[in-house]
Amino acid sequence: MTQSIVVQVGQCGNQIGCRFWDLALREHASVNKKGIYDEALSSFFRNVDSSVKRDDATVSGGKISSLKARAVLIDMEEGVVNELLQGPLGELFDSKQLITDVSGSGNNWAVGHKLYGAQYQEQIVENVRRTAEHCDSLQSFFVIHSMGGGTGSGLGTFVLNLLEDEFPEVCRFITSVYPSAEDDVITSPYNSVLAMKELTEHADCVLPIENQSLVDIVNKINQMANSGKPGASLKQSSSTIASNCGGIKGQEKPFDAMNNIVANLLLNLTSSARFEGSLNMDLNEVTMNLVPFPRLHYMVSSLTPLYTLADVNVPPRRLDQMFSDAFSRDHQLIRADPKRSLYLACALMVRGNVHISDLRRNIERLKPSLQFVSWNQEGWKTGLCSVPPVGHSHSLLALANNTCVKPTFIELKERFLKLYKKKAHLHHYLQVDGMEQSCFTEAISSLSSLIEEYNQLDATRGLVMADAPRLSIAT
Amino acid sequence: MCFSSRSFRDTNIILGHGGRGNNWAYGYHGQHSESENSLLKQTMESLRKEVERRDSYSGTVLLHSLSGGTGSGLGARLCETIREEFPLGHILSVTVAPHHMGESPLQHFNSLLCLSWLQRYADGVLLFHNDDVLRRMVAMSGRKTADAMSGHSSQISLSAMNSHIASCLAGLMYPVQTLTTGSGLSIGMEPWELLRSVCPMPSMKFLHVTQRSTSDLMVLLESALGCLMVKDAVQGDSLCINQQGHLHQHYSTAVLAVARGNHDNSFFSSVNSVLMKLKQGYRCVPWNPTPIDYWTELTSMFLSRIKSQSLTLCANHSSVMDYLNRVLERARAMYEAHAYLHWYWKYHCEEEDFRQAFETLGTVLEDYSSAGD
Repeated sequence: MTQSIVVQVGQCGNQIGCRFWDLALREHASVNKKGIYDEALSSFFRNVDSSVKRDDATVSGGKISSLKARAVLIDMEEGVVNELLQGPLGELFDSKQLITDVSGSGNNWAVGHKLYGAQYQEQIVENVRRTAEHCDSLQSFFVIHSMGGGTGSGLGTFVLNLLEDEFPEVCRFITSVYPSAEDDVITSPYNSVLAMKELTEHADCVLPIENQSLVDIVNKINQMANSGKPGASLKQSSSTIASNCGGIKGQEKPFDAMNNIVANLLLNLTSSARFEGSLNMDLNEVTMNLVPFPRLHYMVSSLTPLYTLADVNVPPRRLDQMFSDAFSRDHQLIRADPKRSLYLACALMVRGNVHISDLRRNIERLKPSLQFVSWNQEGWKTGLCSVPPVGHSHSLLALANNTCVKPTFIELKERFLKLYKKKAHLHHYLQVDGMEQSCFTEAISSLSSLIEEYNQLDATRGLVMADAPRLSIAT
Repeated sequence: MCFSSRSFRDTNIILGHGGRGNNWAYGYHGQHSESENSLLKQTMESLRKEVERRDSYSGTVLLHSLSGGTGSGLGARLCETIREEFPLGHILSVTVAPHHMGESPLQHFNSLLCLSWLQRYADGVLLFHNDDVLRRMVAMSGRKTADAMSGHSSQISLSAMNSHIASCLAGLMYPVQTLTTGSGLSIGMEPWELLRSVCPMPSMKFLHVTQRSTSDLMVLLESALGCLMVKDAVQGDSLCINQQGHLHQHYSTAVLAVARGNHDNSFFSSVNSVLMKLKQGYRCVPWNPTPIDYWTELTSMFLSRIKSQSLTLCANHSSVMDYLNRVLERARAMYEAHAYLHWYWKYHCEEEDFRQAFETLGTVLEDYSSAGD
């Protein structure tokens, strides 16, 4: 079994991270009835004997005594992290896993990346190293951050660079929340484009998420719950992808529902690495199968089902519906329609009571309506994990390497250029030590060439490779 | 772990960490850091000890898949290494080919490389296709339950598919009376005699296996040879166009039939007509004077169904050309697009490996093509 470390940076990163740890505990608790510290738990948690005063009093096997998350929490403001520590999840983290400051990054990528980067470099490396030493077999880092702000975007990508330098063999998965067009941070286009260059060059796999898509999904769930149609009532609230009936009781905070969706994404992505199944899929298989060209590693993700209905009729129909939904525009976590664009590869990670024949049947059924690039007509990667998420009998996470990310990037580029042409707010960036005009020109040029690579692939659409000619004779 | 550890010596169970990422190169070359205590070294060490425990060593049976990283990559490496270390021993591989409609985008490269290694270092390859196995399971379950009410096709699990493959292997490799010595000893030569029967030419090693079991062998023989089993062998179209663009009908160079549960001697009473049917159904080549071999065994291979009878057929059949053609085409298209190659170079694969693999499989296709003339 392998271990993963979560690095949550900035306000958004830490809020999502908080939801992730809560839901992870809930998931393990529902499976692990005996309280034994098993291999599944060890992928994200270590078991510490708190009665012993040593730092590395890790206990393997046996009963759970005190779980510590394999995580590093970084924020240049204290608010979110403090709240996390004071809540019931506080015991998951010891003070050595945190790096905080007080004044924030002022929504400025340069402050996050250049200023705080230099200032905290040593501390970050030491922190991550210590966490990594507690792992027998470290396979991947999960970095969670947002693109539009200063800390998540600037310091987050600085950390990404560090991880690549210090641990080149370990996979880097980045969950990045992209700003929507109506973002209230004026400089978010600058921050995002500057961060994009780092992601393109240093990440192994990026899962872009758009706030607007999360809002739409949450609205859809609420609509379903409140519609009052007969048979449409939702199975107790723990069964929606946006719910958090976990350790944190009381009022759900405004972004909680949206953040839960992202937390569930990470849980589903790592399910096969944690739990058993008939067709296991390790995390390194995700990158190897989905990334045909090193820079094109942006995956559009979709999660189904979003909720389970109380009406438990005809399972197989519902199963097929789950597969269809994964490809519908409403279920994607960014504003994109993969069905109308070109697939480079697609991974289907299935959890729960689903058989290989169901999987095959649905792939054959859906394939005709999807366009795959000519040299990867059968570009599917499938995984089956037997443990379903809490509240569901089965679930599906689809990760698509699809050219439908292009419009998102083009829009981002346009918003950037609008500001850049007027040199708006540029001085705030350039006055930071280490920041130069060339950082901007290089970043926009990196984004442009990325868009161009997607363009070239799009141009090959319709060039389907012909099968070897076959004659069929009536028997 | 899905099997009871009491069946296997602890030192014969060798586990790594983190998988091989569906990457043939990673499986073949292994992790940089573990060169001293690599999976390869550990496996060869355990194999040597097993060989020492035997009075005589005849060969190794290798079970693996073509699409994974460990199965295809480490599998290929083991095949090569075992051949080098035990040049007089046989190597029979049991190889599972992935579903045609994608189990992994890397399956074409992995299959290409592994198949070329098997061609070079194994003596025979029992090739099972997931698509075929699933199709057979669906057909068999359809025959068993007329489940019209549910309105959907039966759910087949991976474990059911694996059971079918295991059953085919048992059908071929469990002891048979035909090979038992006069003093009643079975010396386990079944896999190697199988190779001698169905692999007359070193260039043609790929074997097709199918099986039916029943409570009445005569009914089985009548029905099976009529359509079902041969249809399995022929995989859909009975014609294919070979590389030179000539029309080609599929054919077999050799067939082995193993009948188990022959307690009522029903097999022998009609052996000639059975052999004739097999010869015709499998379209055995005219230049082989004895294309059909058959073994019989009194007891059924199913402990729980003592009266049941089974027929397992292993054929050196040209339909493998269709599969090899597909692998070559897909792999070539991906190679020319330079897709995924950076992962293979990263784990120390070289262009020469690919070039050789394309050439090896191309030659195999030519050999199969001309043997049928």
